[in-house]
Amino acid sequence: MSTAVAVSLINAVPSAHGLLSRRAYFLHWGVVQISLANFIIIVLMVVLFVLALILPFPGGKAVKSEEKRDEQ
Amino acid sequence: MSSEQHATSSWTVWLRNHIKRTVPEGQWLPDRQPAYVRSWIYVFGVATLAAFLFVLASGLALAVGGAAWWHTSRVGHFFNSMHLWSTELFFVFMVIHLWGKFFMAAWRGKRALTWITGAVAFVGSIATAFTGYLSQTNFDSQWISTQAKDGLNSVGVGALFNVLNLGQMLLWHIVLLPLVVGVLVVLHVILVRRHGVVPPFDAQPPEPAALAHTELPETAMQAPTDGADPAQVAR
Repeated sequence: MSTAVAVSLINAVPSAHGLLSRRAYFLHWGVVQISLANFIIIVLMVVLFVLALILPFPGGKAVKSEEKRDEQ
Repeated sequence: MSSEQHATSSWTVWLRNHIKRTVPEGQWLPDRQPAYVRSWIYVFGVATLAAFLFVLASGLALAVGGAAWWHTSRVGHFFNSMHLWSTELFFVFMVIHLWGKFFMAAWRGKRALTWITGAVAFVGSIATAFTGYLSQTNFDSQWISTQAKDGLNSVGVGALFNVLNLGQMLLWHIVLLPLVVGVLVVLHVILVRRHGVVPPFDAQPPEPAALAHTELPETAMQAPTDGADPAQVAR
């Protein structure tokens, strides 16, 4: 990692902290109350879960087991 | 005492044999997996483990510098943020891993203890994260601790587990709970290696020997389909 990248990474920390320090926006559905940030993270997790189920896995190669090979 | 008797009474021999029986050679670090493992849903377990290592490494860095360092120095802020975000990813990956294994009924095939160690490690991780929030030494940790004390006092554990006691919470966070979670994670991984990853409902896992064997000749290489031969192994 170059020094410039490291410095920019370190500089990003206080700005991210400032962004997160703002007052949280809350969603309300009856008795359910959740911050927008938490809601977005949960939605992203569900999306990631569904994508993990449907996206094909790249790479790898198949070999037949010894038992199957012996049968042939 | 004969040399044979000596060997059987030796604790080192007993331990060695016990380890061999628990996880036979070739199952520790296998170079191939059943074909059905070639799915993204099987990635989240090891992703959780990777995030856990980042949590431990950044936590060690914070322990070296101490609170005065992580509050005042830019490098300290960096490691503090790394500790937070690796923890966030740890929980994201762990919860998706949990969803995947729940809907796969991962306790099948004598894997009940694997499921239980994973579930208890999850609860232990929540307790560890909670004490982490209490150890931040800022207004956020003060707010959380004053809110939490009432709940914990109401169930009668406040005298033993005092969230207003920073020294106790910090030691629980950096010593006791990581030890518990760490041991559970190691047991969980050993059990996964012992019994193999859980197969999908419509697949039969190959014999362990097929995975442990390292001299199998390679045949036609093709990506598995939905109807993939479960006896095939992938690497």
